[in-house]
Amino acid sequence: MIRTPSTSVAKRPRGLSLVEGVITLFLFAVVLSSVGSLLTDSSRLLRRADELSWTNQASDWVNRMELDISSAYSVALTPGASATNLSVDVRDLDSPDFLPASPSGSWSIDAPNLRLTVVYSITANQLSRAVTPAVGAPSVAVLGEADSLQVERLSNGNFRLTLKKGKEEFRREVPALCVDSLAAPL
Amino acid sequence: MRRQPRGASLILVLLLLSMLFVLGLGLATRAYLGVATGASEADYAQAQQLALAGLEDFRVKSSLDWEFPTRIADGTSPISYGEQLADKSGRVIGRFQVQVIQDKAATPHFVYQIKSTGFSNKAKCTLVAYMETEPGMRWLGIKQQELDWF
Repeated sequence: MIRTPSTSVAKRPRGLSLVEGVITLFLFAVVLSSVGSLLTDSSRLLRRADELSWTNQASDWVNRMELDISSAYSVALTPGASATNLSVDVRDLDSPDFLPASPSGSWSIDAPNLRLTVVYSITANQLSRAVTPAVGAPSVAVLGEADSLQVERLSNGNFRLTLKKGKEEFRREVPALCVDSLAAPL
Repeated sequence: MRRQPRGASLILVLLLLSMLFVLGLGLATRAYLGVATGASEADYAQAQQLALAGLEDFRVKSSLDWEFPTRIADGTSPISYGEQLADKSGRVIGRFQVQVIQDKAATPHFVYQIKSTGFSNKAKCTLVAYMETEPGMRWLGIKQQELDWF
């Protein structure tokens, strides 16, 4: 006698049961909402980081302005005044005439040919630094984007520099070492 | 004939997890770089302030002490000193190192060359300044020589 295989064994149902489906959907929803929330937070964070990246740049520019102000022996602003650009006169420390090895009899540390005029200003939303020597053509370097520059000379002789771009603002008060040393010799 | 399960779901889940991992890693890296850049910028600014503090420290010391800086016979050997600075709570914020070069301190120049380096966290800034030895000890100019990590 030949026995045929029984066909009465129940077939395993294909796909997920209702409970499995509900649990899967729940887990999927939890993962999806977490990822969505993380992406929203990170995009906000990255936008803020971009804004702060401008602040970092502005800090770098103000460091540079501070060095020029510290090095200046003559400034255009009087205490209490303000302007939308910064103009200072500094000595050309890299000139061969600054401290020559064998100076001539007429040599002076205050010679006009050592004068450099440095001007920071904003044109078409770009902050630039122009250096004009006593003789020769000026050179202009564009530093980066900024909407406005405010320079105030405080009553104590210090400078307050304010750079703005959009909602971002960077402000610092800096002393003028050279000018101060002229005003109050030790 | 019954088909063997091929594990497609496992591969899909692994792919999804890999994508999420890469996305998370990218975002974390960018955030870390942003924080590191901001911190280094603050360190640079502080190092410059410390270097400027070193210059003024030299000017004040040399005005108060007739023997300072120590005169060197040949005028070529620089003298050097440093100080550590702390805030009001006593927390150390950095230090400056001042080097005085006196080879042009006498006639006909009467100029000290002062190198002041500010150290803040991992940033350092070296400024070179020129000061008249007399009269009035006025600063003639300051320039940046180096801005770097150490």
